[in-house]
Amino acid sequence: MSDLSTVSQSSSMLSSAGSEPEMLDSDVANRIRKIVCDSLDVSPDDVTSEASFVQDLGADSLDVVDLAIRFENEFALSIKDHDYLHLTRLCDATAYVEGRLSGAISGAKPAAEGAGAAL
Amino acid sequence: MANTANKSKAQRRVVITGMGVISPLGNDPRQCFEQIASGVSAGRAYPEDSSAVRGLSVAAVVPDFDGGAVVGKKNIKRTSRFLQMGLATARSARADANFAAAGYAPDRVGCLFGSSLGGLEMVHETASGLAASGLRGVSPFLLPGSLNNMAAGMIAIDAGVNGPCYAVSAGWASSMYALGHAFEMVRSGTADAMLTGGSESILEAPLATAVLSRSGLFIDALGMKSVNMDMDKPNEASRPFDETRRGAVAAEGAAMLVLESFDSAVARGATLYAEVLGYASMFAPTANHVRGSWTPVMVSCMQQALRSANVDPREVQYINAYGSASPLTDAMETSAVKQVFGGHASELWLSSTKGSVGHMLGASGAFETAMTSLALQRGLLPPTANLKTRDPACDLDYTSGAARERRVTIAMKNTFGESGHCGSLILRIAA
Amino acid sequence: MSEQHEKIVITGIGAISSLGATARATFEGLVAGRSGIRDVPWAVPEGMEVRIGAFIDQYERPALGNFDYTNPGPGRYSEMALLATREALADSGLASDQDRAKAGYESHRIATILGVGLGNGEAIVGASGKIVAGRLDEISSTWGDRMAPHLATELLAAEAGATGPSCCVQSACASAAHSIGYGFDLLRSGIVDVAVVGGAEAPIAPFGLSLFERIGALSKYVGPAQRASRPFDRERSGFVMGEGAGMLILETLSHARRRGARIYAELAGYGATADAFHVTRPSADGRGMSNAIKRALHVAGIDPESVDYVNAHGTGTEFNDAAETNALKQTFGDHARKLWISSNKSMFGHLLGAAAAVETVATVCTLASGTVPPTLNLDNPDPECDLDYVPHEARKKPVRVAIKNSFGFGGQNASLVLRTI
Repeated sequence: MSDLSTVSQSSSMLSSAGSEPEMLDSDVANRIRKIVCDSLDVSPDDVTSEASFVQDLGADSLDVVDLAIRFENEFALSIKDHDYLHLTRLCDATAYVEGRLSGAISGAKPAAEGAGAAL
Repeated sequence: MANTANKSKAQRRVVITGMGVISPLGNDPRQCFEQIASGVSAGRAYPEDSSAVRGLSVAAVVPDFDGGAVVGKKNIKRTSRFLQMGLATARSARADANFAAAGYAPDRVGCLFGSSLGGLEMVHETASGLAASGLRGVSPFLLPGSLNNMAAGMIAIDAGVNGPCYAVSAGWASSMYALGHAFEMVRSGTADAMLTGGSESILEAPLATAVLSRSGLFIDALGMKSVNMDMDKPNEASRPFDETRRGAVAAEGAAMLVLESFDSAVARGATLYAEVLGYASMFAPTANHVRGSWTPVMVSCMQQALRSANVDPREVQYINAYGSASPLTDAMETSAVKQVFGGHASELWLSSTKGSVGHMLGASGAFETAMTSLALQRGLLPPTANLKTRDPACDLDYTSGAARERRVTIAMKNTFGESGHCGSLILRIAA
Repeated sequence: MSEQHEKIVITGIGAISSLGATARATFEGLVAGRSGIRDVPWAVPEGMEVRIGAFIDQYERPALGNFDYTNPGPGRYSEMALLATREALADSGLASDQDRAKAGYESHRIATILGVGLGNGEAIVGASGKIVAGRLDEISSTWGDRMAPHLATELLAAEAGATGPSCCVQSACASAAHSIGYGFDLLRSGIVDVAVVGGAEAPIAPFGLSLFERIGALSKYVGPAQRASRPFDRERSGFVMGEGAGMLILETLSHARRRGARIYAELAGYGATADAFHVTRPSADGRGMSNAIKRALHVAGIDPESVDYVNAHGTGTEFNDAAETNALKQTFGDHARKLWISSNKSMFGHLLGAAAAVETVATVCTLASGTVPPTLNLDNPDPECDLDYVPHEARKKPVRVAIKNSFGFGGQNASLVLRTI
């Protein structure tokens, strides 16, 4: 399993450009927030846009996988592990799910993934 | 006999200094013991129409256990119930022993844990999930949450101990095997103290209850009706040694004990529940599910244990029997005891606490060792609940009726799991 | 401490793996640098990525004697355990009741201890499926027995004519090491005269694979299957699962000599520790691992500088290999750079509950032959793994003292010391 401290830094590439509100409020964001609260036993106020599930909310590597499974079930998506390891903040998870739902992100595994990349 | 010379060198005395239990009759060892001594028995029925899924018609459940309070709400989903119970009882055993104040070096303390089926409910969920929705149905928590050794690992993490640590599985003798092995580790000096025991909680796992119900060992509605048991009193279904017994009542529960070397326990002023003098384990492999008579293995196991303890059979006064209420095993056990003790058998007091709390499967050995230690400490022998008319083939004094005030010096605790796994422990009252 | 105890020796070995159906065949495969890891032929469920493993295509299914294990069967793990046990008993000259009687061994003085991870996965998954499908009536009275992890021990005990202590030991990847250690303890305490010990694992696909894929432990290598298990390599990304069994016969030196047994090596020491750190990750500093090795050396009465070879746990996961390297440095200091270290898992995969047993068998063969198998696929060592891991090719030198390390999930560590005699 990867070292998640490096993953959460590289996951910023998925967040939308420009400034974002501290507390995201879209339907997708709210549903993700609820899942995170249930799974990690934290309060909604803690799940800010940029709070790291791992560093700030106490998730370990198994929790990250579990959250991805819950996102899969909630949004009827199939999320491959090269993607879900990056879904460690509300902003990143929201951007990803909204992107998948709108078709902007494909979710397919990149071809010929280099060894050791972010893992 | 080879190697006996080694046994006498550098062997330390071993004592039980703490215990924690979770049982159908309560989660405090002393309270539970008092309930058993008062003749209370646990058991609830499952409605017959639900037995298609559940499989067992009657079971003894733990009425009051909040796993979330033990592991934290966040971790309920990542730990199975047997694991939560194991962790809880390990904590209460350490608190009971005032273990934190003992000052043992962490790498001189280990954890040996016994369970026969572990977190089978999680396994079932995963197998079903995989079949239904591919990898999406597989939780990442299955492995850490359901494997037997994870209980040992989590207890070690919780207690901060760094000594030998693993799990043992030996059918219904699992926690007895763990306990006996832990005893040997302290006795030989491999460890100075051990957290040991086991847990079993599979009553919520359709996978487990379905197969258990078909094993022929556990009582079902048909069996109950065949001897006119009162179907409104499921707590009276477990009847060790009684002529109307028709099988064991499955239960859930956990028990963890703290074992220490006698010298260091006394030096730190620990409460001593009992001293463990000796132990032996044996196995009766046999063809097919229905075992022939494995009495000779039971006999040999008891004899080895007595030798291990350097105790003469005539010194034993009380035996906490295996007494599962299985028609066959109860009779075999009786015969085995007679063979070991000869004329002295008729002077022995025996009882099975399975009449009171049912059969805790892999956890039974450790739980019943805890109860036996309390019996020694209190000078009070618990009765065999629901024993009204002894089977002629079980013609020893199995303490039917009330508990008995008796000061006992040496007791034996037997586990003769129907899987063929035998373990016998010799205990002495703490001085 | 060790002077007071009888020496314990290994007098028989048996193994089955993707490299071969016997101990010798497996070792020859290791020495030749062959890989048993291949693409699996099964249909893999939706969402699963892993398609490789060190599975055994076919093996000669053993007759079960008086055991009528049908519906369900005993599971591959039991059959493999039995095959390895038969080989080991025959190897030690203790295959029959007459042999054992002649050797002076009574049945209650023979222990059978088996390291197991999951056990009879076929029965567990099979029963689960029937329940989900509402076909409860197809579950007969024998299913309960067949699901228990200790199931295989019944076959082994019958095979060995044993009624002594018998159980299965579970500590994930270290199960077989703790099983061997348990036998070691029983012999040293004088409780038994023979210990039949080892491990067996046959994680059925896709269920077994899914469990480990889910926690991210499996190799994500994209390329030929044989290159996917890469312990200590920069490109390592997890282990490759395998199946197999390994068994050893342990006796005391004095009794083995008295009966004229062939003695492979001494099992000189055993140490077991717990990390008490995390449920799936080892402590990065390797402290728990190091302490297990130190304990084993202490029990053996051997200085770290005397160790020639280390058969590593070497799973090929990011965490293990780095932590293990740290542990070796901590334990051996400067001498760590002189050690030859290799990972058999690079070739026959991770055998989980059986790993330590087959690897101990391989270590016995190393001592006997003076040949150290290589670590395959070690093309670019991770800078953090900067010891001599014997890349690519086997090497020869007399090996007098070897260590077998095992570090299980949940931080359960066990180390064994073997010495030529």
